[in-house]
Amino acid sequence: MFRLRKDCSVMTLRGKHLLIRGTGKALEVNGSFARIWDMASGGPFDAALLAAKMQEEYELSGEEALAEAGKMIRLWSDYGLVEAIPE
Amino acid sequence: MSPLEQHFLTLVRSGLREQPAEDFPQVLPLPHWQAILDMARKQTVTGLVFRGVGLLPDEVQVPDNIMFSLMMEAERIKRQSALVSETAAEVCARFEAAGLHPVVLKGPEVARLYPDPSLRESGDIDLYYSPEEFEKACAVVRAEGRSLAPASDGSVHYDWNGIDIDQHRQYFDLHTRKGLPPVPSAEATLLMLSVHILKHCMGAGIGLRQFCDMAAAYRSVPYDREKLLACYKATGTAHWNRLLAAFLERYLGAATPYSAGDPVSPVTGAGEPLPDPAGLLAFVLAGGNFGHHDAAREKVLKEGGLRRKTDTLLRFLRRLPFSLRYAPREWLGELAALARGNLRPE
Repeated sequence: MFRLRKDCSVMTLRGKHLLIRGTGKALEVNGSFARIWDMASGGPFDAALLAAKMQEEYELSGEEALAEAGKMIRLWSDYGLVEAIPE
Repeated sequence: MSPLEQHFLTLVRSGLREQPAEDFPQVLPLPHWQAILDMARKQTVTGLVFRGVGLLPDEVQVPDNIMFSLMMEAERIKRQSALVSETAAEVCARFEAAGLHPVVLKGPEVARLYPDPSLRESGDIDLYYSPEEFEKACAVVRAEGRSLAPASDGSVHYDWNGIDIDQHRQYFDLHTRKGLPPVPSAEATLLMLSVHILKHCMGAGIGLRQFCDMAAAYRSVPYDREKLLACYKATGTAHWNRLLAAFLERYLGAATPYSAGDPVSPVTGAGEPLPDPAGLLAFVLAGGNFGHHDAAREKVLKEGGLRRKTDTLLRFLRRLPFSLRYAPREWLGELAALARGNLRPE
């Protein structure tokens, strides 16, 4: 299971989205990134949980949603935006 | 009021009321946007301006770098607000475990009255204890290994998780003891917020944030209008509260106990025209947050010591016309307290 790091957040203003790290670094991201980040904000998640929300939002098949969710979590992990919760 | 100041206040009003801004120009030059952002920072209302910008109609063009700056600052404000709220809860739990009853004043408590509490800037935490509990609370703080620093008004302050805690032995920043409403009560909250603004208006200054607090409180705190107005009269703060109401109504679009349309009361004077708040606005805009952005004051604050204390006293004396007009009773009490507290060697 994962959770979003507390010192990372996505702020939205008038259709613009900014990923902000506690270090003060910021990166503009698109609406889809912001929406999926929002889906992951509720609490701990894994690929299956995230995929279920994405499937509903984007009308994907189960397989497509799981693949996309996995890609997103790997991306977040590579950029240090999530932390793994021990079992 | 300049057009820029009008645009700034329009955004603050919009953010405070969660209503789209009325009459905002579709295009503003970048330097004007930057000036609005500077005003927001100086007045510690950036969170409200962030919300106000978010509510602007789609046709209004807001430069990207202004939006990015607002998002960065709103994120910082939210993070700080969360830390202050968590610390307030932790501190209160510690004192309650010791059998004490801390009351959180201003800050995190008044933030709850905002449409989005996390966007109200909070720096420190103010706690009140009854006279019976104040010293016991100090003992708890010392037992934690924290050092207490006394302030000139009899309060003490200390650090907790990097947050400054101000511990007060008085709920109301008033010298008069007559006509005070019971604590806790809606009227007590409103009087406490009002006189806090008054005291700083009598001295070095105060920013727009505290006026926004008052506007939010008038909207959300369920008070008894007749009791409140009678309390203002009994405490000698009626003239001040009428000026404050004029400010809130004109610049923040707030409803106040003096709002037009009410019948004139021979006791409270409600229903009469309110005084002109333009001078008060000029004072607030010039000094910023607690008057710290007045250029001369900024310099003195860096120097500290006797120079700072003397400057505080001089500013207090310079505000004499305002203080004698709106709170003469308090002015005399404040002068005595200031002389005792600020001219004592450090």
